[in-house]
Amino acid sequence: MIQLQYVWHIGQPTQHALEQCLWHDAWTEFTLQCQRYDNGGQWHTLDQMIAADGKSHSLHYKVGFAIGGYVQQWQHQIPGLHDKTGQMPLPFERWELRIMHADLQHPDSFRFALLFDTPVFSLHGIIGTQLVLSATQAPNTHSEDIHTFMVDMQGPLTISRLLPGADLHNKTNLQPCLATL
Amino acid sequence: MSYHYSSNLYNHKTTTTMERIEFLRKGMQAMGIVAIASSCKKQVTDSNTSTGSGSCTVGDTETDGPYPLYASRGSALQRTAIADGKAGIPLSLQITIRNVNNNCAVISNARVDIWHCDKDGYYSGYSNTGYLGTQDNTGQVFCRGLQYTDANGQVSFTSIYPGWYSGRAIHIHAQIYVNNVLKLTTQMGFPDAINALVCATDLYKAHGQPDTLNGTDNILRDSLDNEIATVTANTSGGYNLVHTIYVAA
Repeated sequence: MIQLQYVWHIGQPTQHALEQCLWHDAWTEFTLQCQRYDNGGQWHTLDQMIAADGKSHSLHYKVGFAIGGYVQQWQHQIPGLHDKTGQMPLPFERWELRIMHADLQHPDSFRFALLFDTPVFSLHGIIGTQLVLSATQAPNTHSEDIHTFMVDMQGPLTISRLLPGADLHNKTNLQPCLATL
Repeated sequence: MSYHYSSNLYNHKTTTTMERIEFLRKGMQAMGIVAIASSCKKQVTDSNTSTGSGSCTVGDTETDGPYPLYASRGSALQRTAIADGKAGIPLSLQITIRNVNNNCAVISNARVDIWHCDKDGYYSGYSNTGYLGTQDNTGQVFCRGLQYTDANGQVSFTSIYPGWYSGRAIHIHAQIYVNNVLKLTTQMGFPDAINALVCATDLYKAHGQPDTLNGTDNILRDSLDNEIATVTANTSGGYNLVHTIYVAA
């Protein structure tokens, strides 16, 4: 059983219209929310604000609220991330925004990441860079068919959690078996 | 909430940027939102509207995908109903913003952010610990909202009566912006007597009575004259909260 995390970095220059909208709204909200922590304009970077007041950590999720309207309309499907067939969007059950860099004196340096955590999947094998997964959460007894899908682990996708029983090493044994098909 | 692996995220970006760009581009094409104007408009531009001649023809019309950008954008908090289905006694709020620099005149178009905990003392947005243990409420926005004041300097919200957590009297947070400048971060308290009634109801009694009254609350006790809201029972079984917040704008 594994859980995946997809990380979407957004900064200038943005890569498309959606990124620009997300960036614009997040930056605007940061300039509003950080006024609570910039000590009358004395601090201009997020790092300075956090060093001076630990409550500044809240800026991560407070800025995240500002793009929550977009996230809601994605309906728990990670934008831009599909299985190998390109037909099945990968779901997320949790997301958060994390500010990577913010400096009020240099708006274009503002960067953040959107982190999407998938549900827990069953890992059935690894073929090259592809994970063979299913949404089932019970051990595969081979007594009945299981609908699987494949996900390419290249790109900003990582395995964020290994749940008890997950054995990535043995899963690679599928590779030589399937390579002969 | 952990912030310890930001450096890994940076490194990841440098090694995968081009892959990510192509990956996202393909994804966005699949979602049908690449035609969105770069100015973040709420409409999709359709460039295939003319009838062709000769060897070219109008492309097939397809669905705009499951994630249309124009359906909703912006803050998840700009709304009046903020409970998000959380259980609790209904609470209607009417907040008025006035300007001490202008003869206490009302201020229109001021941004008013409010947030409070649920009936069990938990906030949305992050992982927090209370009498029911730790709850990871990351990504959730219950009991948070923002509105802009109308011509009467007022905003209204509907929510639930907040619960309490150890060391604090029952309260609601508020932040007031005028022309995008933060003018005030404040809190609104509730009368102790009404708190006691609410916390004795079936919905709230599992947590017991608040361990902190307004007069001993470290935040409210020095400003009881201006931070305790007027709260009255209404005919719907809930409560109405009316409060005026004064700022220097």
